[in-house]
Amino acid sequence: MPLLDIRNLSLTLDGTALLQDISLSVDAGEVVALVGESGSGKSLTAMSILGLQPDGAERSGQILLDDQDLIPLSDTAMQKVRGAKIGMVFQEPLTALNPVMTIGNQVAETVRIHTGCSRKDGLAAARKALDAAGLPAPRFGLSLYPHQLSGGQRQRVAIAMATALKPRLLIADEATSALDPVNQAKVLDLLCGMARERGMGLLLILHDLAVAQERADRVVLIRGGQWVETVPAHNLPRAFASEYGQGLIRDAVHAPDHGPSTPTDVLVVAEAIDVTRLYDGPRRLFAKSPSVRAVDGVTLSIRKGERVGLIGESGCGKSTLLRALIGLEPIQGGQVLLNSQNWATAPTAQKKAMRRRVQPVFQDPGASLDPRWTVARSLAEPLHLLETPLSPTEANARITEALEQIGLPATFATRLPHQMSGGQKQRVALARAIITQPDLIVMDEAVSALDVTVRARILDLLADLSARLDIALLFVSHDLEVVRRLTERVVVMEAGKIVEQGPSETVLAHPAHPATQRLVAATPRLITEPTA
Amino acid sequence: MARLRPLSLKIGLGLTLTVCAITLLALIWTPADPLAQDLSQRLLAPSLAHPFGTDALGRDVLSLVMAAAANSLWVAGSAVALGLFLGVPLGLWAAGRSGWRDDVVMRGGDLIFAFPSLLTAVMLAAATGPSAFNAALALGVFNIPVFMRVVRGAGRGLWQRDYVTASRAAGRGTVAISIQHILPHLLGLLAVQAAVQFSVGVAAEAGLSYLGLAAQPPAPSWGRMLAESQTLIGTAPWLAIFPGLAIFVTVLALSLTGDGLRDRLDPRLKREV
Repeated sequence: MPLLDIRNLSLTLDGTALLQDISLSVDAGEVVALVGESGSGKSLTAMSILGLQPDGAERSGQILLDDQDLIPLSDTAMQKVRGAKIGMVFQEPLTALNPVMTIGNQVAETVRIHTGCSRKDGLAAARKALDAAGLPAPRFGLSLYPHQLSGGQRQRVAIAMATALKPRLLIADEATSALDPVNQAKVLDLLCGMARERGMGLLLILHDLAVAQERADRVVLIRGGQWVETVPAHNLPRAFASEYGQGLIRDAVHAPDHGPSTPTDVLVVAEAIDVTRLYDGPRRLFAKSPSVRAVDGVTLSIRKGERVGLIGESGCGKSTLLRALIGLEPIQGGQVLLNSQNWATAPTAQKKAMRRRVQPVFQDPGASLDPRWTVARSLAEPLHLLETPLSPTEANARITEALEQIGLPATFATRLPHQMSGGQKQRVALARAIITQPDLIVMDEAVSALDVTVRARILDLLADLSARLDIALLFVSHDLEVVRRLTERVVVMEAGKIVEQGPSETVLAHPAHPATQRLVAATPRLITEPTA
Repeated sequence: MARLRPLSLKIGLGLTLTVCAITLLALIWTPADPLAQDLSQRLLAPSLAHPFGTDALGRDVLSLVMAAAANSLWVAGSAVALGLFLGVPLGLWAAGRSGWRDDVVMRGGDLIFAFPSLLTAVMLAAATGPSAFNAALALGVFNIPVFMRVVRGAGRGLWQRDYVTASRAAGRGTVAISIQHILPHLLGLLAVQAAVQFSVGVAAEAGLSYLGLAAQPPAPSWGRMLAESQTLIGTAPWLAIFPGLAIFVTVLALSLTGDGLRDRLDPRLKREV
């Protein structure tokens, strides 16, 4: 008898079916991955299990936990189930924790609500839960506040809260997606370890198939609110029987056509020489605060048309370096050169010409376009950087051309961001970056928020644009697999310094520096070949 | 509560429009000349000829209440306009420029907040003589930091958005970004705050003219009408009731509009509904 047995779960809101006939089961001590693209209903399924579906939505079917159907239970009865029998961990540890409450009190509160125990017993239980979540005393005292912890540590607090009462089932909704590979691996180790040791069922909600293969026993694939298939996670690429599942696998491992690699003698478009960025440390009342070295003496050059990957753990200075390259981050040492011109010393007129040569693309397609601006207006914004101003007709021609380059019809010019999908928005952001015909595009996790299918198309587009228009790419990412497939050279940073660089295939296959080795070891890969 | 929200905007807007219409009407027509005294008609109770009665000098109270509306709205409106025209640019500037410039502007705002607004109006009246203009100036100065804080707080968040960074990478300066990317997102917020400050201004103007620090006689004013009615409240209560009602209805109309607008425009509240 499985621990959790969902039979034909459907969810209807105002006559619209949000979920249809979802069936899945989780045994005690088993790890089941629920995978699907964004909007497929993964999170909705999880929320429905907890009885937290959107207001007015009707559930039908059966959700059996230890043979008890949860659907007929009243909200009061469900409150006793939530937290006590089913724990839940969310994606964003920053918003899941109360910033003005100590971690000890937050964990203890959960315990006290359900057991009604004394404050002292609650704190003792919190201590135990935090120990089990890998935050041992005395380093992680109960009196710490969330802001004093790193992202991975905050997620451990959230896990401690969810598991303090030793629930039968733990649901983790993209609990590690916001973490870098090393922290992701550690947190997944913790979650899966708990499941095995305590005989707790673990339902991992994921979009990353490689993580599903590495961590889960079984994988449930859903699409558009409908169950597609349930397969063993072992040898996942071969396991999917459906055309849709196979398509996802193809897109997940899709390597864009590189084109010829850049010869080593072509000119350097961007150069960082001994760049140092200092941040003020925490303010002290009287003493001068020690500064933090976010970027510490980094030297890096990018040649025309070259695709460079920049990887490293969270907080290693990748994004800061990237902002310094586009001239938006003041630096305290060294210099950043663009076509041999220095950002710091260039006169204002020159800076305009320099800005035209380098453009950014960001992670979140939802945030990178002004929600009130039409596509045409957003695309036209960088045009004022051109030396000769364009007439409205010429500007329109440029906009149409840029849209064409990134594979969107000219009719998109009049759309607003909310009328487009995430992939389309990211294409528009890319169009805005190429409209000034730059030499270099810097991308901060530019494909991380996209579904595999969309991601594969955007990667193709990037490789194609880079080859066709001779644009160099500096690609910052946590996703080593994407970096390996897209870039020809990879640069590894740790604590503000570059610790290793070289051809992507070589470095990622045979990492030399411990930091690179940690990243590579932590990155799950879809194993396509059948293993013995 | 959730269901009352759209209603509060409707009622608020309806009342506000009515008050504005009456104010405009009073500029061209009132039932009687509000300043015409007729001592034979002193302290008449409300009747068909004088629906709100007459005051100690035989003036028609309805005409006075109508004529005073323009004065009240003019003072409160100028004060809001002054706050908007100085507070918004300063707030945008502080949001766009972190560091000492931000500190100087915002601490300057704190400094203004440190003075009670009525006291400043009293000081201003003592220095230059009481007048409606001085009342508007005194109230307006205190609106500057209010709008500054609203704009700076919300604007600071918007500056962190990726599209603003993209705009900076596209070579846009602080002024262009503030006007094109930041300000349009704050218009809703400003409309709410303006409505709230307007209602506060109407009440404050009434307070100032009650103390004799705003519009001077013979210009009609709600606050002064209340002050003059004090000694006669036992014999002629209508002298206090109708100007009081006018203040109450105007402040209520503007507050309801402000609340309603906030519920409409603030997406965070919308999600909770």
